[in-house]
Amino acid sequence: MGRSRFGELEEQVVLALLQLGGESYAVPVAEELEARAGREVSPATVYMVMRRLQEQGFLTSEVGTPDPERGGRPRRFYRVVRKAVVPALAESRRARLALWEGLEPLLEDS
Amino acid sequence: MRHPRQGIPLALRLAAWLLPRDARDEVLGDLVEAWRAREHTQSRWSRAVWTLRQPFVALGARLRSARRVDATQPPSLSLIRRRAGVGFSWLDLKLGLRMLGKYPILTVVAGITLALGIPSALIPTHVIGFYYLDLPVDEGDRVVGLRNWDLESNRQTLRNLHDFEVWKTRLTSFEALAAARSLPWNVHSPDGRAGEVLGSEVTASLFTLLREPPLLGRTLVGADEAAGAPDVVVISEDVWESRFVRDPDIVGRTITIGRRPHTIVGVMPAGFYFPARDHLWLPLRAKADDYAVGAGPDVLVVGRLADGVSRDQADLELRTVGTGLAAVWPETHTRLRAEVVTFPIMAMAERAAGPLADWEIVLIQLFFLALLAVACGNIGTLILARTAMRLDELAVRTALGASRTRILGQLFIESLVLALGATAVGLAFAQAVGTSVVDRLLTEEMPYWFDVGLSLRSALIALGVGAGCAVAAGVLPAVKATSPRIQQNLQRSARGATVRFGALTTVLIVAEVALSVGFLCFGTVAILSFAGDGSLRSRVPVDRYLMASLRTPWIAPPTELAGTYEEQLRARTALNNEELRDRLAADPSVRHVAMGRNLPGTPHASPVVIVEGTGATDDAPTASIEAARVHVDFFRDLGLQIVQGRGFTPEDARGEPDAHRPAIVVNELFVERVLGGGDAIGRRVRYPLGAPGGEEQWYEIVGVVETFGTNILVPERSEALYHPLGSSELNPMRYIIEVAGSPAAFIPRLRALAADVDAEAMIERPEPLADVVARMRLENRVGTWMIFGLSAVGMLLAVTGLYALMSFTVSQRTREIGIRTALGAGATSVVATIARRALLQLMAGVVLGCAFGWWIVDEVSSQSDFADVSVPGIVLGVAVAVIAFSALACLSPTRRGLRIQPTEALREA
Repeated sequence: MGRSRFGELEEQVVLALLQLGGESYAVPVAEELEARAGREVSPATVYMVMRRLQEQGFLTSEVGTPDPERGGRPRRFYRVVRKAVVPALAESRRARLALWEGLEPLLEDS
Repeated sequence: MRHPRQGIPLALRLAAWLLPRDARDEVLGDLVEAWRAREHTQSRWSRAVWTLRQPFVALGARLRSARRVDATQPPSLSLIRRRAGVGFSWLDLKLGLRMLGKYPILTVVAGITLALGIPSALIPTHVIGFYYLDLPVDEGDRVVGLRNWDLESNRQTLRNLHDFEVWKTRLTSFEALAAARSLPWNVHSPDGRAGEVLGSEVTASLFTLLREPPLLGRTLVGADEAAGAPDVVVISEDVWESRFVRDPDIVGRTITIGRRPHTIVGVMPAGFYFPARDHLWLPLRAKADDYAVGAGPDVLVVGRLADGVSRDQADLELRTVGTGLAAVWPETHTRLRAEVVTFPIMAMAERAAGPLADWEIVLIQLFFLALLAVACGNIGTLILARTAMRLDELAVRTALGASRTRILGQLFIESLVLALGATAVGLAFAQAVGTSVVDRLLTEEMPYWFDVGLSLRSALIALGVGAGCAVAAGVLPAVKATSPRIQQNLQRSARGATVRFGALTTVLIVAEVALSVGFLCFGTVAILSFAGDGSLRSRVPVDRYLMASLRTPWIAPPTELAGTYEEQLRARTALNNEELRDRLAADPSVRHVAMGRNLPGTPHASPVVIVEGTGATDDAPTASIEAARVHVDFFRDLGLQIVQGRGFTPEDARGEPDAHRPAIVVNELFVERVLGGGDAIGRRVRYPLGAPGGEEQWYEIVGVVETFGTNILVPERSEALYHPLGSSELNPMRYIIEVAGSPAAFIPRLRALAADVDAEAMIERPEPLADVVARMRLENRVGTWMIFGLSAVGMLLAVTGLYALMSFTVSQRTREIGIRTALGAGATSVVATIARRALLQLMAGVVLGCAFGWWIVDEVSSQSDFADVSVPGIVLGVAVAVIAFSALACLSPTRRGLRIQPTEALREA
């Protein structure tokens, strides 16, 4: 069994990005994480995670046009590279489910 | 619209700065977006907490990222510490924090002092930083100004059309060059609204140089600059919104600018107002060939440095080209030095080095640093007292193997925690209060790149100064307290060691008492001068007057008037000014209207003068007075009575404006106070510090006019002299208009009359005189209270120092006092033991301070900006106040000393 190549936050960021249609930037991803996973993460953290994922080949990016709402600064849009991400996510999910096997009663007890 | 950088919390900028350089801009954008979204979803406090967390979050993200990229080099603090051999630990930090709570009075006093002192000390540095702001565009630090500096007049000259043509072809240090000239335009929108809008004529290259794409349509292109090309304009988003209600089909519509309709070809995005706060961009069609070398309109030339070229390299190349031009055009260019400067320096027409050489700023900086030094000295005294009380603890630490360096390190950390905490609080306070005060004082809209907020650079400098204060106030006393001599005493004596306040402490306390007395004297004069409403004592009914300026624009192509372009403009200015004045005078709701540079109720120059025959010299001039330049018809137009001689005639203003014009008129107060009464006609006056025509030039009094509103804040100091001014000599010309009804309600009528006179001329800054006076009073009050407040802090420090000294004396000499009391010493003797040194220091400080204060009050009250006050009265009053406060501070330690029981004191010992 090979190890997942994602850390926990990396995996959540990729999933949030996929929930947003596979392409977005740090602010909506941070909002998505908070809305779906209840995890409050700063856009700065999300940005750095996505930047790292890009270095590892999981994402690509391009810069948008400057926006006055952002003090004239551009957004960097990240796009999921499905070919690289899907196998890694599948592996991560499989490993997680395998570890949970037979442990569901724990949750019922609590 | 606010500047894109304005309003962004410092914490967010710091967070972005902590990330890799190439990520900063985008992350800052993300943080700003998230921060603005929180405005509607979170409470103020939650949002503030979120904001303050961001730098820590960013630092964590940066460290995590670095660790993942290079797992072999974890950037842990412990590793850095080990490598640097600093030897501090988190325990020191914890101990430092605990000390803040253990000595709350010290924490509060030192904290307030440094929180006020450090940001105040850095105000001049912060102001100088304005000259080095980057333009808020992509790689704004690479956009610079190119200009000529006139070495003879020591001013910048922007008549650079010919130079611009040469620079464009010869300079290789720049990726692109562009020229712009900003001026107000009369704009008539389709909805019938007319009014002044600031706009620029620019070369098409400007937009690509600044890398600013349009929001809609296109920017200007080269073909737009051709003579005879259709009139086109690019507008700002503000104009699109305010005048066209964001019409999506705006491109192709027309707008009338001046007299001509212009087709709108594009809309620039919000936040773009280059070069200042401009809303229109028209093609620059002025060509060098149309003008002689060194003539033509002023243009700002900007350039973007080519890749890999530094500002110094570009400057060197520009100077070389400039030297070549001096050989080609010796008449105009020999005295010019071409140079590359930051854009703000060029926009504010400052010297290349900025205002650093300005003695006023240096003096202010020294004043603030002196206050900070006093503050540090006093905190040092308090910390020395605290350290001395902890000698037993330090001895135990030494016995357990701690080196002196180790102990000093720990004491430094304790001071550092205090100093940096205070600096952070002070910066937050300065950011909040400073920006709100500046917003109230700045009436004109500032250039879009101007940012009074705290820059990262200023914050870092402040933290650096804070660390310096920690060294001065924490380490130096610790060095003294842990000296080997004291350690030896400690080892020899079972009773413990003592630390004595040395000569340095004495000097500090005496100096701070002296400085406090001096500066409080100054603050008191300022308060006496500006506390009341001077305008009530003046005879000027300020609520009846309206102030405004009329600008006659420099618009190509030349008009039907004869002469060079400058001559044509002057002729047109004169026509406009006289025509508008006459039309206003004929208006039934206008009582009086007059023109001039320095009008009643507004600031005047306050030079010193020498009156012939009074025996005054350049070093000891006769008086400081108010000087004004007014139109030759000023007295007649305003209905002022000539009490001696005559008023001005047009002949008095003949010749060039810079030429010597000997005729002056003075007011009655001038005759009474400066000349001592009598016949003033024919008496002569000169300016020892320079004036048009030279320092030795005499001016002859030809008339005396009734006193009227030259110094409205301190009317008792209204002694004034007037110089004559022609109709063409000031553009924009200033007007004072007395109206029958409300001055503000008359503004639309004024604009209409000006438009009738010349459709392209503009009424600028129309404002009721009451508002002008109110703003001047506010400015004076803010300045006065700042000086007084800082002086009061100085006095508080002095008093605290005395308290620390006496309190420490009582603690250290408890046993001695006990023995003296046991041997029959009376209360007087005990008080003398405790307070003798403190009182001697106080008296020495007060005596020195009185001498200092006497000099300050004497100097200041001779200036015509301040009230004429009694020097001994103020100095004596302040000295008594300082002694009284100091006596209060001495009361508690003295009472403690008097209550010492001999038996208890000896038992404790």
